[in-house]
Amino acid sequence: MSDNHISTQKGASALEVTDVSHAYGAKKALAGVSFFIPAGRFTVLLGLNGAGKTTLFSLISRLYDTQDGSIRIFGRDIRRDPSEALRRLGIVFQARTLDLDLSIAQNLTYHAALHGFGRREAMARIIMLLDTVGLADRLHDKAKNLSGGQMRRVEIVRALLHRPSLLLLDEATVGLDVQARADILATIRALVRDDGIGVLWATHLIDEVMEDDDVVILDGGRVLASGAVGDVVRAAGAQDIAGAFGGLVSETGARMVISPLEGGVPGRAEGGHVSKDSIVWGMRRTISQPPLSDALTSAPQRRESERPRPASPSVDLSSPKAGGRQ
Amino acid sequence: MSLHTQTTSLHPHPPRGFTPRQYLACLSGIMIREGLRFLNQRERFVSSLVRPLLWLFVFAAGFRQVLGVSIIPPYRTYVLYEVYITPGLAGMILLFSGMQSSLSMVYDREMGNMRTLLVSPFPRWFLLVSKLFAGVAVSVVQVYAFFAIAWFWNVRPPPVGYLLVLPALFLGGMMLCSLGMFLSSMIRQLENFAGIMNFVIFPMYFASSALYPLWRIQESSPLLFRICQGNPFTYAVELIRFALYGRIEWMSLGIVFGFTVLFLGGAIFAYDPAHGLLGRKRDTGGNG
Repeated sequence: MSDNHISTQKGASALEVTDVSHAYGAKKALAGVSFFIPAGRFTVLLGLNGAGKTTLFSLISRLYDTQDGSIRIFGRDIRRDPSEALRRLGIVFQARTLDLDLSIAQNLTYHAALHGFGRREAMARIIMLLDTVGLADRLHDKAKNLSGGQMRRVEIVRALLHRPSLLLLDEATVGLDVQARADILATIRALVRDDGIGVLWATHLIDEVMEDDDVVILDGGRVLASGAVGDVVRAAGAQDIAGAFGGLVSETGARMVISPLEGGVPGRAEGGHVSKDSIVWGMRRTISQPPLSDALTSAPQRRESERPRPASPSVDLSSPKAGGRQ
Repeated sequence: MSLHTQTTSLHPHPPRGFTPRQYLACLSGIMIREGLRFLNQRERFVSSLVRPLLWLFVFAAGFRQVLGVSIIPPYRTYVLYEVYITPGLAGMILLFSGMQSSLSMVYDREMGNMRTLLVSPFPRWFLLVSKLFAGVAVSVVQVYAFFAIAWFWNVRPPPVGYLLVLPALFLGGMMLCSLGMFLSSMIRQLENFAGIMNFVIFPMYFASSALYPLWRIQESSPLLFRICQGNPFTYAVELIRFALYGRIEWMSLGIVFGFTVLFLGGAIFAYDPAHGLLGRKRDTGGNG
């Protein structure tokens, strides 16, 4: 665990990650990562591109085994008891993983089979879940005929089919428009609120962090802070989560690049410079587009009181190296 | 509306482990998906048949007069070259289909579909064997379609042979698909598959008894004969040839079984998260 790691977490854990390290050959991707996710909470795994989020997801979902450390899901060690750990886990990967040539029903019954459920047994739940995300009438459409947002909703339905207790989502809103992002986030937050499911939401978009969330800040393969957003902000001596993130990451020598979100209009920031695609501005933040919460006002189905409050204005923490990986 | 707690038939807290019925549901789900993918790619089915049929109609017809095949087991009389080459062409379908299966795993890995399989709570070995079994089943359907067409070309083994060849096709198919699966773990990108084509499929096919009897190869090149003898595909072809004529070639059966275990073990090792090769490469499918 890094020396400057702030941890303010408490409560029963859905996921415990203890001293996990991983390397691709000589390249270290994760170094001594430790944190835990309380059951029934929305936890944001926040980090720049290349911070190690996807590698961490791959280890939690046992695509790879941990080289060092341990991962426990509801007390089940992912190495020693992978079946029992994985059946409590629902996963939405960053890359689209639907079979585009198959229909939605065929994709979902395949997933149900991978959890030991026959087609007849699974169909009732498939129809019910698709209905709740407004896609019941697309049951027999091929996946390739869906929009990006609709595919994500189907992937979320797929992740929920076997009733997991912990849902992992890796950059689930990447490539989606503002409305689709808002819909996906609202759907997932409703799961936490109404069903008590635990969620680990990996993102590099700070405006997806709300005041009531928990957060794990990952940078350079190390956890810099973890806990309730308010506690992390206070412990970092910052005004908001963007400030806390910037302050913590600056100590590790990283550079924050603030770039316009999809559909956003870049604004000139004091002390910064505007490039074609992004505003690079040391460790200070700027507003690149209206906050995601503003977009929610255009969603007629959400009442004012239901709107989540972002913990900071909209900031996209893209890697300085475009598409680069660590 | 709640997505999670509404009444359905799926159990929120399943008992520990899996029942045989659940294993069967998983296997049939994987097989149905493989079958649907095959049906959705009709050109794959057509091309898998065109290749051996070209060999049968064009190559074999042309070489009929040049290559006489003496009486060798399992044949009891002189046979036309088309008759001799048919089991080899059945092996060719299994070989290409097995490698196609490995190609689809590389594609699935690139596209991310493979992850949905690998994060299933069923044991990894069971998932891989199920995937292999599904791939072999698709190959065997293609072989029977080929046999049906060959029947009209006067290649007519005894009727019981069509039944007895089924386990031989499955075993040979498992060996070749396992090899494909093992190789797929080492291929990072789809483009690298051309290398497999040139360095694995073609040498395996041509340096075997699929096209010429071993005695003939020995006469022309002792070195090539030795290579053919060391090629597991030779034994898969002979196993199919003998089974198609109602006999079991025990040595071929043993060797094909042995190589199946070896290749399958290698594939399971390669895809095992604890020992495998994937975790040492960057294959996370994300940029976080």
